[in-house]
Parts: sequence; C-alpha cells; structure tokens
Amino acid sequence: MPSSANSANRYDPDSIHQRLNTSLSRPQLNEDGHLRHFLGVEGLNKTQLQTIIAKAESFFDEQGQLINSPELEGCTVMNLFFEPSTRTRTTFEVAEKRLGANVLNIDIARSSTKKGESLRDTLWNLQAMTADIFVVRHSASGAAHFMATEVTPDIAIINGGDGWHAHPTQGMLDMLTIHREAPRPFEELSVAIIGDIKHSRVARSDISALKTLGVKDIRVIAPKTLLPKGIERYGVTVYENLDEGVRDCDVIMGLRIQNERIGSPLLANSNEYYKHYGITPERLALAKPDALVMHPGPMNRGVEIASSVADGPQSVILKQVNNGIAIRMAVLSLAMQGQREYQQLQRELQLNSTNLKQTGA
Amino acid sequence: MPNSLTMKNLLPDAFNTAALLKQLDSTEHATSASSQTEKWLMPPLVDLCARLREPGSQQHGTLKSEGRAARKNGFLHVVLPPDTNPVLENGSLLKGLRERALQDGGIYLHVLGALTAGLEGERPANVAGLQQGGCIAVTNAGKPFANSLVMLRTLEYAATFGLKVFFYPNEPSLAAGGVAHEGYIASFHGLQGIPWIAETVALSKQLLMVEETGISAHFSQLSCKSSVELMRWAKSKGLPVTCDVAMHQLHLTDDDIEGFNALAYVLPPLRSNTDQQALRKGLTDGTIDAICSHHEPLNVTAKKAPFAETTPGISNFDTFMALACRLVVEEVLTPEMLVEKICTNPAKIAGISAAYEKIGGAIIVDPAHEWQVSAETMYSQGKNTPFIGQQLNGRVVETLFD
Repeated sequence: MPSSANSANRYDPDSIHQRLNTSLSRPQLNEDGHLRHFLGVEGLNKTQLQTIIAKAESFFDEQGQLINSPELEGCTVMNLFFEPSTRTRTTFEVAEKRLGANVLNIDIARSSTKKGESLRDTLWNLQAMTADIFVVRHSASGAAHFMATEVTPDIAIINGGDGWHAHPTQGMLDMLTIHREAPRPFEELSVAIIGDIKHSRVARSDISALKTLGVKDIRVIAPKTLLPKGIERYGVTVYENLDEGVRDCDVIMGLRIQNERIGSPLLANSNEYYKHYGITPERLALAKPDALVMHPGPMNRGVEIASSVADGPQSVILKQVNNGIAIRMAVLSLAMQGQREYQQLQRELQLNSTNLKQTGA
Repeated sequence: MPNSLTMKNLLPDAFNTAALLKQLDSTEHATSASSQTEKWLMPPLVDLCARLREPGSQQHGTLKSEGRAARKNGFLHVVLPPDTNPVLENGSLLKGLRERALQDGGIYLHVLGALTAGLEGERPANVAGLQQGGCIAVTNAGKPFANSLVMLRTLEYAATFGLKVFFYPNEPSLAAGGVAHEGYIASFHGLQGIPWIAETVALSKQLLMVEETGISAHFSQLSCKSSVELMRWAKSKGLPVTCDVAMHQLHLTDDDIEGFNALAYVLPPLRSNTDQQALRKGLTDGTIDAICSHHEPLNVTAKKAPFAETTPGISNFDTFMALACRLVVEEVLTPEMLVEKICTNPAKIAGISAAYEKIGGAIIVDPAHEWQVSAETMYSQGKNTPFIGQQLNGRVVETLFD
C-alpha cells in the first residue's frame, strides 16, 4: 500500500517477491485456503501444488488411461476464448466433458466485444445464463484476476492464459509430466527453459511452479532481446549460450517462437535462431542421457526444435498434451468445489446475520 | 488576534499580508478547529499541469467540477495543456475558456497553446494568434513530432515570438505499448514495460534543441533518476530551462501496481524506488523547480478493465496537500521550500507572477489534519486514486479567495 512507501525492507528483492506472490494469489483462495478460482501458480504453496498433481493423477486408471469422473454433472462451463487457441481450448473441452459438465464454447473474438460491448457487460450476461465456471483466455495480462476480483467473483474463473502473465494449467501439466516421467524428484533436477522468456506466460508459470516444488537449478536460455527485465530476481540462472545452459540438465523445455518475432528488431531470422538456440540432437547430447524434452506446442520444427528431437525417444511432448487433460480436470473440479464451499460459507454468514437481526427484534 | 499567533506565516512579501490577516481575524476559522498544531498560512497553489477534461471529455470532469475541486484544495491558478478535444490551437477561443473556468469553477486558467497544428507534429500552429489570445506558452503535449526537423523549425518559430515551450519528454517508439515501468514488477505481472530511456532519450534531444534554438523550456513530469542528472547538466550549462515532477511520483513506485492495481496506472509510469529517491533529492537541491498535480480525473468505468486496457491517470487534486505535508514531515522540504515548489516557482515558470501577486488570496493548511480518502471526502469528480481508503494527514482547511 502506498502509505508504507518508504519503509526500508519494502524494496528488498525477497520481500517484493513474496509479497507479489501473495497479493496475486490471494483472490483465488477461499477461507480454508482451497482454490475457488485458478488464476496462477504464483503464491500457491507446495502442498497446494501437490494437491493439484495428486488430483490429476487420480484421473488415470492402473493402465495409465484417462478415466471419466462425473464430478461436474449439472454444472455449466463456458469456455471464453478472447484470443484464438486450438490445443488449450480443445483439452479444456475434453476435460470438461470427462467431468460430465455442460460445455459451451463462446467465440468471443467474433461476437459481442466486436460490437463494442464492454468485457464486464459480456461477463454479466453470460453469468445470467447460469454459468458456474468460466475458462478464460485473454490477451491482456491480469484479465483473469480482473474477472475474479471485480466482475464475477461467484463464478469459478480458470485462467487459460492471460497476456504474458500466466498460463497456470500449462505450468501444472508440465509439473505433472515431470513428476510422472523424470527419474528423479523435483529437488534433484536441473531444468533449462529455452527461448522467448520475455513474452511467455508459460515460462512465468513454469518458473514459479518449479521453484515452489523445490527445483534448485532453473536455467533460462535466450538472447538478451527475449529476456524480461529483472529476470535475475526470479531466482533463475541466465545463459545466453545454449550449449552451456543445457549441459548436464535433466529437463529441457523449449518455448514457441512466435512468427511475428522473427524479422522484428528482436531476432534476425529463423536460421540464425535455430543455429544458436535450436534444440538439436547435438545439444541434447550435452544434457543428461535420460533428460526429458518438453514443449508446450504448437512447435516450429526447424526453428526452435529439430524434428528428430521432437519425435525422439526423450521427447514427452505428446504426454504433455495427455496430462493436460488430467490437470484441467483437476483444477476444474477443485475450483468448483472451493467455490461451492465459499458460497456455502457466505450463505451461512448471511443466515446468521439474519437470525441475529430477528433475535434482536 | 490569537488566530494569527497559531499560524506560521509563509506568505511572500509581495502578498498583502496585513489585509489577509485582517480578513482572517474577522472569521471564526481557527477557534473551531480541533487540531492544536501550528497551521500554515500560504499563498494559493499554482498547478503547472492538470487536465480538467473540458472541452471534450466531460464524462470524466468539467471546468465546474474540477475547477471547484481545485479551489477547495487550494489551487487558484491552473495550467491546462492543449490536448483537449478540440485541440487548443485557436487564440480566439482561449478567452472564453478562461472566463468559463473563472465563472463556473472559480479558478484562473492558464492555457498552453498547441505548438503544431492539431498537435499533429507536421507544421507550426498559429502560435502568434495563440499568444494574442493569451496562451502562456506552447507545447506539443504528449504528441510526437513527424521528425527532428519539424521539431527544430517549430521551436525556432515559437522562439521568434518569445514564447516558452513545455515538454513532456517521451520517445514514443521506445514507450509504445508500455503500461508500467520496465522492471521486475512489470515483468512479474507480464505487463509491457516503459524503459527509462523512453524519457531520457527524448529529454536529451529536447535539451539539445533548446541549446540550438535558444528557446526557454519547461520540462514537466520527470520520472527518472537520469532525467534529474540531465537537468542538472543543462542548468550547469546555463540553459534557460526549468522542470517539475508530479506529486505522486514522490510518494508511489511501480510497487503500487502490485496485483494489477489499475488505480496506480499512470503515464509516465510510477518508477522505481531509486528514481523516487533521486527525484526527492533533485527537489531538495533545487534541480527540480516545482511540483505539479498532474491531475487526471476519470469516471469509474475507465478503470474497470484488465490493467493495460484501462485509461491511465490519477485524480490528484484532493491528495496533493496531504502528500506535500508528507514531504515536510519526511524532511525533503521545509515549509518555506514547499511554498516555492508549489506556489511561487510555478507562477514564475508560467510567467504569471505579476497577476498571481495582484490577485493574491491565501490558504490555510493544517498539516496535522487527519482525514480518510474516500469518494465522499474527495471534491474531484474523478475518484481514481490509489490512495483511496487511506488515512492521510494534511489538508487545506480554509481558502481566502475573493
């Protein structure tokens, strides 16, 4: 708050980090510390992240196949994609259907907002159509927070990606994948994240989740133009040289280079990028022999990753997609449960205050 | 009699103190106040930059609403930039605007005319006509110039008529798309940053243009440490330059946008703690001549959207004096220096000292007056301030204006 603006330790990097985590996370939790929205992984503690992972694992049977679990029967989930998406939207839809929810896909990009309706009006109208959960993808950082805090707090908001800020279900599906596939526990892993960190909501969510789950060695590898200001304060090690960065690491996470970055002032061209930052078999050989290769998709083969690596034995890229369904089932179910608890408590409080008034009268 | 004894007289010599004290003693003001601490008798405030939202944006405020808010908070003289709708580029319209501000809002408006036609940065506006209409200086507001040659020539043209220029240094290509200070806080929130050099590159160029053309220049709303250093350099070279800082930059930092707090979204953005310390130091050592309000009232819906999609701006009139008092408490300024920074220096910079002294008037400030910032306690129509809900100390408790 502005009133304490000049106290000395307010600007201590650790205290800033901790405070930011808390303030960004607070709106997504109910009184018992359970999720009632899922806005971001930052600020959630290790137990809370492990709860999400455990819940996701419960959706696999003994053969490792995804099961159906009708936990959202009778609930209406609206997928609000203000920004185009194929993979995220589809996996959300699959997850929602496996939970037995009524699913509506609303193509916002082509509908009311184009007619000048404000975001608040759009959401209030959809709320009136008896939605229980909104899954939201929006190009503005903080959009999901804004909805959860200022527009429709009684609807469980699931962040499907907001600007450059967060993509928490991607972050958690990456954690589930590492948890299931890596030969060592989080505490013993070295993880390298390569590519456009600056504009990546995936990178931010991954770094946050990896730190909370105990990974000590997180490396980010990118040219200076693709690194955000203040990256060193995230508790990561920055490498501009890929060979040095991937040496002996356990997990290599590639990031998508968006086409509009190539040939912009940020990058020369895709050949040069591939030459210096592409994940090639030679570079993969510098990592540990059992290192995992991950990518959130969609991939630019031959730009950020070689086809032989993407399709090779160390790649878990398609497993990420499958795990994405389980993670989305988990957060949808948990947030709905937390939202119900929250609303039950609100009703009880209201009832109590009414009773008190009547007793008083 | 006892009233004037509990009062620290901060009026400049040119003000008719005796008459004001007489007027003061004939009122009941101080006996009714509960505070036992010393109050300050100050000349009226002069604001070097406020947006009153008229003409063109009356949904956010009017000459009446914002004029009255200014007056209640001690501002009797307000400088208005020309980036209204329509743009203030027609000398004959200025008189009417000033009259309405005085009549409806009770304040003396001092208008900055457009430096380029339509503020489009292509060719000079009718600056001689604007001068005849009574503009106090010219500026291109926050709008860019088509190129450096246009900038040079339009400045030469304005200098021909002896006009002063106001600058709000910002290099648009470096700031484009940015909504927060480029640093860890913006990165963490995934918000696009505005780097320091967006301001300092523009300021450096403008200072060199000033040196080349000999035009007098005022730089408004500096936000960076390096800008203070550049101003120090320019002043040591003897360039005819002055500068101000917005009050909120001395009290808030990029920390205050934490949790996507759109109420703290303002341009130039709230900078780092290091910048704030440098700005405060620049104020103390005289590098920074004045403090402006940079008042930008907005209606409620303007801040109801995801952070980057909200309208930048803070409603600053109501909190201005409390924050000024805080600078005295925190020993950045003495009460005497404060009067220079928010009264007499701004009047000099605006070139209105003679009128300022002639119009006279005074305000009484109770630096210990505790109040809560709320929609009800604010006079401005815009309730957009990150201080909302907070307890502040210090307010203008009485205005002695005609």
